[in-house]
Amino acid sequence: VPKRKSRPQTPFEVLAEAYDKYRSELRQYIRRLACDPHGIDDLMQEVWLALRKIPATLSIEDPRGLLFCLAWRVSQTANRRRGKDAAKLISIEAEEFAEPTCGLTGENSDSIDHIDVADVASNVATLPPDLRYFVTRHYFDKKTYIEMAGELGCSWHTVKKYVQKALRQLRKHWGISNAD
Amino acid sequence: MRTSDDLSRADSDRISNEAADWLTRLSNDLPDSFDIAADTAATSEEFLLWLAQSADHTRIFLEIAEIDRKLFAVNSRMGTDIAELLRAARAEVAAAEWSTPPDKTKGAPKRCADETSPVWVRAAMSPFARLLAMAAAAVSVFCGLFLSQSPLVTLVPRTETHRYVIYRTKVGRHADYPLTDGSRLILNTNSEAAVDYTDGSRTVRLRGEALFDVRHNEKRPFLVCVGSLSVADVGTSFSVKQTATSAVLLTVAEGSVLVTGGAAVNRQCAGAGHGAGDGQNYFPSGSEQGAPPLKLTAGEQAEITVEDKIIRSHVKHLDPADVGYALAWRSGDLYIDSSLQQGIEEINRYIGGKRFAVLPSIADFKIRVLLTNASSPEAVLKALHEVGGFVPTSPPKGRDPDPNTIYIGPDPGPKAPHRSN
Repeated sequence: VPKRKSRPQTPFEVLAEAYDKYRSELRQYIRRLACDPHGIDDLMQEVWLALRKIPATLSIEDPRGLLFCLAWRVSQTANRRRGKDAAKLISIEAEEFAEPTCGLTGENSDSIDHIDVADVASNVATLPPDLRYFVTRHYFDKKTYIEMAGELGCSWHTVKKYVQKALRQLRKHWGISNAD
Repeated sequence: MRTSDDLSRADSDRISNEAADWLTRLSNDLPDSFDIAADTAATSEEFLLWLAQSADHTRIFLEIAEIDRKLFAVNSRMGTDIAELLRAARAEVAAAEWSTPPDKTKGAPKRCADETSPVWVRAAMSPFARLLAMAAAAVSVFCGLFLSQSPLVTLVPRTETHRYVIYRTKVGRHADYPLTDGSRLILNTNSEAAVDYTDGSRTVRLRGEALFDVRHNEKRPFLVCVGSLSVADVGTSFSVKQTATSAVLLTVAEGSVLVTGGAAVNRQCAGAGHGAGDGQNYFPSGSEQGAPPLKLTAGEQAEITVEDKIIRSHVKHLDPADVGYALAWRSGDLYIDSSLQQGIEEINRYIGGKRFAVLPSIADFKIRVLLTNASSPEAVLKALHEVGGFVPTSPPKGRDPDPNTIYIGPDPGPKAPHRSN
């Protein structure tokens, strides 16, 4: 009896396999990204649901990478939704409430994700002054694109372009890999 | 899996551009009108298709996302390095605001350049300042009448057909005055500028500190007269400050200036501001003669005095961040990087009523601090305590207490426990 040719895996099956394989790592990643430390399980669930919506025709070269990108997307969407809701409730003047908790969540946040501040500062310092200005104000001063655009009298889109350019340059010099 | 070494540089740059675009598009703040739900649905498939193009797409996207995450996790309270970067950026935003004068005819001021002309390039050139902008003034009767309604701006008739305008600021305040020729004048605390415009000249006589953003016009030279010096603009943004030691601190942010002293100043500045108020010379000029001109260019700062008919100057070159610090007063901040004695003298310029004094034992201590409210004695005391542990103390021996003087001394530290027998 000729051996039956095995059916190629669907994109969902490929990603579901990766989900099982990297579940623990994925959970840590989401935990680092999420602004709401109590919503990690929900986000894991959302990632799983997102896998089910993957088009069957999609060709996947790097299942792990795609899985983590999806996790990033899900977490970001949740953060944006959360941020937009919070903005309705919290006055912009109340700076003490504006302190972000994203990325440093959980009771053992230091052990989960230690940020080398000196490393961050030294890399930002390598940027040209114009890009350094946008990075500093946006990330460290927690100014939104809209606030910065208002300060400078330009469009939200222009601010976004500067931040993009800074991120591209940082990637070249920082040497961060997605395994970090 | 391929690494970045396997990718051509062009491909890597292209994917990196696209990844950064996706990241900024999908994260962070959005205009209020933005519909997140609609965006999520519309972009999810598009984003997926982009990611699935190759392993390099996912790898580079995750690298950029990791940088974004690390940057976002840092805030201003995380060490001096970050605080220093922030302080510079905050000071620089003030300078950036000066990169282009506001266009009032088109609503919001256009200070931000498009992507091909980074805002910072212009800000770096003007950080120091569009300092003495000799603002011009008010040849227009309409403008003069308008300005005269403000108590801090006085319209002074010089002749029947000619007027000039005096601008003032109170202690602890700063003010921004647009001038009729498109130049701008920003006055710092407790300063005055008499602006005298004619068809052929623009002259400002200054007392105190000001920043001028000059609209250059060869047919109407712009001249700032301060003490016994005159500063002629050559397409410039610059600041002028009279210091406590009767010297003039001049900082050029853009273009260049020519500094002159002596007889030429008397001629050039004759009449500028004279006759104001009670008919006396408003800011008496010096009488030195024959001093040669001094040229300063963008990024240079000079402390200038005129002695024995010669301009004596100490010139140093500033980097853009230092220029931003020097101009921090425009946004209500005061940056001090000097001895405690000099710092306190500077702070006293911003405070009305009371004044600070330093005990001689700590007068030479170096301090470096950015005061966000230098006109408030309480805020100053708090900052001095944070930066060096300095606290209010009693007067030095032999000096009577003065209710209007706050003496600053070192923190004595915790008191020793009382020892009882």
